[in-house]
Amino acid sequence: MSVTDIKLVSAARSTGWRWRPLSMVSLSARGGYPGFVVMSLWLVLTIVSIWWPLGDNGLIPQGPGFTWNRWDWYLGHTLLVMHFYLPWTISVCLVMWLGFEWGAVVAYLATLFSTLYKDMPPQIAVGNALHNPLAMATFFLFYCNYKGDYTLRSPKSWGWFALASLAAAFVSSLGSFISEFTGTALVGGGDLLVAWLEWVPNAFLLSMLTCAPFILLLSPSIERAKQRYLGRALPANPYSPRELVLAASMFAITLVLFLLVDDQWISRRASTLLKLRLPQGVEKVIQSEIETQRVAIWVLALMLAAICLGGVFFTSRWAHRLRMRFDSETREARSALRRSEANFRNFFENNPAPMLLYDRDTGEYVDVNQAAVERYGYTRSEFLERTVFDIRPPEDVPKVKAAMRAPDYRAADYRHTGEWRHVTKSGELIYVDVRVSALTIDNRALNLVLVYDVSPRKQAQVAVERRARELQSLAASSLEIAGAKTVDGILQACAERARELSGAKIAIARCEPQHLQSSVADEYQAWRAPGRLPDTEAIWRVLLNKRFPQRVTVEEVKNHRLYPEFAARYGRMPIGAVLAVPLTRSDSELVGALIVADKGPGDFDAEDESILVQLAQNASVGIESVLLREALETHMEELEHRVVERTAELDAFAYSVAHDLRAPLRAMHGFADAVREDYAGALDDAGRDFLTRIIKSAKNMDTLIQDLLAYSRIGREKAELTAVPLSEIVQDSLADLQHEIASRGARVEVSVPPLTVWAHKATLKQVVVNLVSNALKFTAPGTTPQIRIWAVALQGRVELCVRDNGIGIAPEHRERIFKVFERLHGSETYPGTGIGLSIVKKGLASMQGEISIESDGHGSTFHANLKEYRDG
Amino acid sequence: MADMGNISKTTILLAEDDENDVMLIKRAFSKSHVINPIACVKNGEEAVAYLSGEGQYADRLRYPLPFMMLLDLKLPRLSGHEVLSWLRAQQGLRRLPVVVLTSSREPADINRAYELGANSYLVKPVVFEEFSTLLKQLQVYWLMLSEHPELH
Repeated sequence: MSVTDIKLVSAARSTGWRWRPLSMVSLSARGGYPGFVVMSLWLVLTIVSIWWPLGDNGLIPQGPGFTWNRWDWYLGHTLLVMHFYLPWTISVCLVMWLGFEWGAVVAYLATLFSTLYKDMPPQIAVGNALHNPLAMATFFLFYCNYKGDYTLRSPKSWGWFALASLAAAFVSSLGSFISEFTGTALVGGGDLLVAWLEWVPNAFLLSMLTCAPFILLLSPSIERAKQRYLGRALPANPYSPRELVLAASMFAITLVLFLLVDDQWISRRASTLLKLRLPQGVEKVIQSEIETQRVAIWVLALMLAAICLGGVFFTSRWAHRLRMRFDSETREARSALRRSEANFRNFFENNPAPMLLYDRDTGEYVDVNQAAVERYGYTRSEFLERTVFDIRPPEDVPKVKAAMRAPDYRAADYRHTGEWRHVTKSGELIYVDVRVSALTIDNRALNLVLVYDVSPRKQAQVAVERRARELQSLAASSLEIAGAKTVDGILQACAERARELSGAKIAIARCEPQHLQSSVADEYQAWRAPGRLPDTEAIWRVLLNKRFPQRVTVEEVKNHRLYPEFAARYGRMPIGAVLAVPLTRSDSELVGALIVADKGPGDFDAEDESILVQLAQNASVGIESVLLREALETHMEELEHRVVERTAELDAFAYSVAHDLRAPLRAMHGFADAVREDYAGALDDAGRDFLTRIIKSAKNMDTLIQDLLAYSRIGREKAELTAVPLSEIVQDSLADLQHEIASRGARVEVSVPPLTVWAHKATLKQVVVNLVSNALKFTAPGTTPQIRIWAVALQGRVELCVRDNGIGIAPEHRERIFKVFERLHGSETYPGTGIGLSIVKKGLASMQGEISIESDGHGSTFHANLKEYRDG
Repeated sequence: MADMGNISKTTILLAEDDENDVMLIKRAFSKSHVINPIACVKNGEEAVAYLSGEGQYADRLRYPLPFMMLLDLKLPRLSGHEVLSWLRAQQGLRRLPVVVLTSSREPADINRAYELGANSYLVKPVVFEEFSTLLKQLQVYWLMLSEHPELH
């Protein structure tokens, strides 16, 4: 199909312009308003104009020249030409060749003037008024139904012209029939038909004579006018010489015939008049009138002949020029059209971008290029059966319709309408960028669409967006997995993310030996229960075997030998494509699988696989760390349990020490004492001394055991720290030591402000007791112990200081004295177990405190540092 | 019953497995001029049997209900804690004053003993004089000053 074909198609589709002057007379046929209006106007004016002269109201100037003269009228060819034939010729030309229907008004109005004569009988006026309209109606009825040309260039055209003129003559001559019928005929003969027919040849020939020269003369200009104003290419060319010869000879024949007929007619009319008894003078007038008429007719005939000849001569030369110009114009126009068409064709057809030409109003495709055929998959003829709505996804059609209703749809010649979605024959969705140019071909409004396929760009964009979403989701999944405390929690997060990332409807995450979590789309709600989920054992075995991700397409699933069994088992659930990814431990041991299934009709692609592999790796790491953590926790619990056990053992041991070791001591001591009391007399001094030594040793041992127990208790028991008033503890401790202080005659000076410390009451008391007793003990022999106890608060800490005037401690021993069983002196000099200061250090440590020591030759100062308690 | 009641008001039940301690306690009592009869049991089961009057202890003339019990914690078969716990669950005996007399100074032992309803907790001193003083004070407090609950 070419552009020329398009023009033909287009012309056939649009309602072509058809010239139908018949509307002038057949009002009902077309309902054309000009004919109807003209006829109505004429009717009204006719009635008025007939009535007007009767009243002689003096409004119309009625000079002598306008007075009706029956004799004049009877013979008045001049008047007939003036009133009827000339205006009629003009109207015929205007209507017929220019298509200007209002041209009929000229003829109608002219006839009206034929009724305006003073003293004209009404019957005559009616006849006159009907003359032209009836003649025109008849002429058009005949002539306009001829389908050929109207420019008198063929014998056939002349024939129709003559026939139409004859019919018009018959009708227009009805006036004489009416005159005769109503008895107003000047020369009444009673023969109505003769009276009528007498006029016909004359009218016929005169009508032809008056019309033909104008038609011949004006034809070329009429042609041009029609071409210019109506934009119609006409088949008619200017007359050829042959056509002009034909026209001239036809006119000459008509003229000769007319002269012969008319001369006969006048003679006959004159002789009829002269036979009448006429008033004196009238006869003479008639005679001169006949001569005048004869001369007038000849003059008229010669004038018409001259016009005709001049017209023929002029037209032939003009026509030649016109023809030349017309031909060259046509040639140029045709070649230009051909060139432009070829260019357009080339541009259209060979354009690599799809181009679509469619009707702007209906959306029907008129033409498409090869690129469109290739891109959309429709053949050209399939395209021409479709509209712009057929290549859209159904959901976009309302948008397209709205765009076609938008005001700028018609306003702009060129528009960039942006991005749309099209659907090819195969159902592929493509994204296009559309540019539209408005064209008019064969009076038909068309849109030429240039389509840029932006699908690759769009797909890349979609892919980038998808990738971004995936990364985001992956990051979120990492957080979820890291936050999950259990393997099931990780598997659940993993399944949900996997479904989200892959677009699958089912996701199952399993971890050996027995963890299984799933995420199922709402539409498969019924399959959410664990027992109803698809069995993943087979997939798991395949993974175990192959150890890398498995992708199965919809086709492969459907064709699998086990599919019918599967389908029967799981009912209507469409399984779709499957993608399974292994969960692998860091030592590349398979621990589980992530399986997604059913992506609707689609398959999983490599991108799905890679993203799921990443997800699976995240999950694997998460699972491994959870398992490690669980193992660690188990181990910790075990350790703790063992510690508890050991502690219990130690407790039992300490208890045994306390109970069982002291029992024999008590017995030793008790019975030694009993012996000393009951059998003192039976022993000599040495015996009594031995007893005393036994008793003393037992006492020492008891102290040692008690101290050991105290020391071990501090380590075992977790000290609950509370607010303890320091001065109170110091007082209590001193009260406990009262006996010892008194026995040594020590002087104790206390200045402890009311400070409160974080401490364990019993432990703190033990610490203070030990410090004070230590101060009491290590004084040089013969020296009275002087002890000063004070406390200071400093930066949230409280320091309790115990100063003695003892023997002092050499710097190198200051660490040692806090160790268990470390003694600096023999038990003879300073008896003791060597545990006291160890208890101090350990006790303070258990209360977040510490001990330090200052010492010189005049004594030592112990600083016990504790955390201060403050309200709030 | 009145006689039995009188007798029962004077007997002290001593639950102690250590022969030495039994001897020393008895001596300490005598030194302190405590003349109350002292019934001894060697282990927790015997203590329970004595108190509930089972077996040989069914004869309440020979083995009258004590007005007070001195209870060692570390007893064979049933520990002192268990005996105490059993005793406090007995309808007729739960009011019996119990003085825990043990060598343990462990806070856990002390706390548990009081939780189970011990009336007093004394640590056996190694030094004999202290022991005598302790028992003397005990006798004065429990035997002379305190009013005794009814037992049956």
